[in-house]
Amino acid sequence: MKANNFKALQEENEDRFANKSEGVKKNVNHSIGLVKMIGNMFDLFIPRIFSVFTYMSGGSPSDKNQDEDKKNTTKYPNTK
Amino acid sequence: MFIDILHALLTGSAKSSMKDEEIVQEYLLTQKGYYFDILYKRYSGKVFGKCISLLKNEEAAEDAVQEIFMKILFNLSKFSGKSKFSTWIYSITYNFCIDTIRRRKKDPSTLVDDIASHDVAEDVEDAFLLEMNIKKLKVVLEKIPVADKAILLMKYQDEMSIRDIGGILDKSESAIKMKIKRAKQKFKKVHHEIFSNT
Repeated sequence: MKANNFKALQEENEDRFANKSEGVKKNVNHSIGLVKMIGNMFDLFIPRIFSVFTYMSGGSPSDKNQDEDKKNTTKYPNTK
Repeated sequence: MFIDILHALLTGSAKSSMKDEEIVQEYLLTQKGYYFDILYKRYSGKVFGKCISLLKNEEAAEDAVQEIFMKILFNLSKFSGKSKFSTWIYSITYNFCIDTIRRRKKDPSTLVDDIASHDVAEDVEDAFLLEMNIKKLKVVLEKIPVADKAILLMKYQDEMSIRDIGGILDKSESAIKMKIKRAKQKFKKVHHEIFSNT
């Protein structure tokens, strides 16, 4: 087998990372968690912000869905 | 949560023998963190090795590993499987380091396309580089321009094909062959300058 000291150099560098690996992984997970949380907050609040703007500019928030929900909901849900 | 951890423990050995591409598929389907952990375990050291070679600073290399793995995670769905997963990860790594150095502008020679600037005189044998004493190898790699170092690492450390290197650097195969040839010549020249008197 041919010698390849580039590989040996890579292994040497990898060994240097061994004791730092967990710390960096924690940071990665932390950053990803933060990004996901911000994403979820946007998902949750952005539609409401649009509704607020619509309401403030004089329009009425779309209540089409609410009407449909009302139609589908009977007074006594378990009866036909 | 508990079931996930138990599942991970029971099937851990099976998962660690899975191919990278299978792990990526599983991660994309399930979004379970331990699939990403396996990829991290396999590649974080290698990514760090490249970062420290190119950025020449341990702290910067740690930060780079963190950012590179975030990039990998957010772009995992874009991995098409045309190349090996390792090649895809290394392409992100090299491009990230190259961009970082470019932003620093400490090394203006970094990525200058210097094809016309050197005289092509002789071919340098691969064995000259591969069999060099590791301490000398380190010293010479520190002294050559980053662009040459990156291309030599891709060729000899990662054993990438000319085509893959061309894909990463967005160059034709003939341009890559020429760049490798010149990087080897520079390597030999720097080696001669440093060690000819010792």
